[in-house]
Amino acid sequence: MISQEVCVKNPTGLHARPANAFVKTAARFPCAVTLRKGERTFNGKSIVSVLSACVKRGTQVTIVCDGEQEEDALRTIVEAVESGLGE
Amino acid sequence: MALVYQGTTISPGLGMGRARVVESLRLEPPAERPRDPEEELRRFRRCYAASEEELRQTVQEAQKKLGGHEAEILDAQLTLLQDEYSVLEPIQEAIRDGGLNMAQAIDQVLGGIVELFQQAEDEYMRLRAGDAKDVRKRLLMRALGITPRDYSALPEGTVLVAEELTPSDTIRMDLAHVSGIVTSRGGYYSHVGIISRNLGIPSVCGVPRAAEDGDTVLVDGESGVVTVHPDEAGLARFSQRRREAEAERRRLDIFRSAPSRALDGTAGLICGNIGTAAEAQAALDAGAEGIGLLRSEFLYMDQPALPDEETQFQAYRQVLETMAGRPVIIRTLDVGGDKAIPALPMEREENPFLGCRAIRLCLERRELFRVQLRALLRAGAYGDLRIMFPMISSLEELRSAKAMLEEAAEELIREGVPVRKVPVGIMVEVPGAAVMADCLAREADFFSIGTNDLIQYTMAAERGNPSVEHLYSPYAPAVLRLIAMAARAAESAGILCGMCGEAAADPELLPVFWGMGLRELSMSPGGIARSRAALSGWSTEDCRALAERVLLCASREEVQAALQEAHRRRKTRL
Repeated sequence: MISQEVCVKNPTGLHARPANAFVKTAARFPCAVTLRKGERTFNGKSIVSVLSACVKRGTQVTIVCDGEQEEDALRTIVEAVESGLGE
Repeated sequence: MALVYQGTTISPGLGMGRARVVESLRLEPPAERPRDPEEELRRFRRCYAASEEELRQTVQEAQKKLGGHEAEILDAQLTLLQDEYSVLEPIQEAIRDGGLNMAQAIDQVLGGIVELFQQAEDEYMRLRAGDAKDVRKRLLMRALGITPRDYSALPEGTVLVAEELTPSDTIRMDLAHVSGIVTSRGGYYSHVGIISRNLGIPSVCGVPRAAEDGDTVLVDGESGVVTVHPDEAGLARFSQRRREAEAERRRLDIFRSAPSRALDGTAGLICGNIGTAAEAQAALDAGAEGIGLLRSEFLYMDQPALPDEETQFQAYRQVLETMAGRPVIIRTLDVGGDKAIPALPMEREENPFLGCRAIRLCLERRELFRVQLRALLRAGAYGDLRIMFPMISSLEELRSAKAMLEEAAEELIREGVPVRKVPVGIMVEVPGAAVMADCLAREADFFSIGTNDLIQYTMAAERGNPSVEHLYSPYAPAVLRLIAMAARAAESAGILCGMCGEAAADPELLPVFWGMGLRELSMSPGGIARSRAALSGWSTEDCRALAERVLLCASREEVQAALQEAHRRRKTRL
């Protein structure tokens, strides 16, 4: 299991299109992807879960990847978040 | 007898035709429990797979057909449908362990998601409730074996009458033949609002099911009035209005995408004034050849704290990227006693219009200004940015503002941020700046005349005060002479002079401004095509002669008479 902290930078946070892009990126990998915000954790492959995390712009979140291809997954997801998730 | 309903317009225009009622489907799950949960589970999986496949294809079609908005919504719905953790698994569990039939399970699980979204504090999330409803409808219809009525081929001139239209409704509809939409629910930002504006279909919401299939319906997207069974005279009047509007629209439509040129071919730019980053697209759609004024105040208004550099940078960058290489003039913060911002408490002034506002305030609150300048310089890498300082009244002010910009640029360069050279101009809106225009033109890269303030300061008459209304006018010769001074100074210095006040959109004055040498006019996007059409009817030579004539006028009446005369002569000649 590996994890990395990242700051969500796109204007609308993890909403609408960016949330969609996040989930799609996570879905490309077989490992489990978890989004940690403060004490709470959310399933990074579930759009409903990611949306209900209500991640606003400027929030620090931790991405946790566990399982097959976890290193690839973590790197790709962190890069996607840092580049603004297509927004 | 004619039935008249007052609704709310959500898309402008005048539409008429025969009603086609879009029935809302009753999607009630049956009450019985399945005898064999395993069999029900297998049925559900088939139903789910078929729905998913259908939605996937619909997304692909939408991407090809409409692009943008609809494809994006449908794609979000697909992601929701494919959510194993919150959708697929819980439904299967409800069937397997809860003993529900599949329609009940779908209704329960997606209904829960709809509620979760609806109750969210966050507005973005509340908007997603519509997606969840649409996914529920899609799955339920398949589970219940209901095929939607077919609206894929509609006769020309159909007026859709519905309770509400969702993306899954509209995607299969033959909207090309729809001339109006009347719904009981929805609103400006609902799906039906967005899609009807995108497609130019007049739409009114807030009208309960008003018509039956085949009724004649008039949809007035200007006033929000819906008329069913109009009488003959009403029908004739509406048709006449429609023909006129259509002729005008056709005439102007050509000018949306045409370059701005006078009759003799002299080129200029007609640009849009915008107040938020999001409006850039609308300006572009209306035919703007650039942004002549982005009021940066929107970043500061209604905010508990001052916007940081990153927020500003993103907003400016968005506008520049939307405008894709076209010029974008961003005006630095223009606030004062009359336009206060919550995060920036200001001292009360006796006369805020003559107080510490706009550039004066920015030069005093240096940190505030520095943040904005840094954000602007960083955004400069993403397009043709030009920075404009408001309310410059002396050369010293321009020099101080430019020195701060220079400092900000040096700071960024020291930090390793690439900085491009950005043209720096001023608003000419204080009479003193117009008088000193020759000196200012040597140190500014462009001028933009702000007529609203220029009139008020020149005539010492405030806008909107009925007792001084006769003084406040762009036709006042004093105002016109100041504009001419600025234009002449710009021309001798070889810099561009534009205008971004309301007078820029006045077709009567347009030839005068063009004749004075103004080559960039910026206005509310709605006036762009009309102004471009007006410009195309004037030769630069005639404009020059008219400007000279008007500058000799002694009173506002004389100016107006000279303009009327010139417009009349041009019309008879054409």
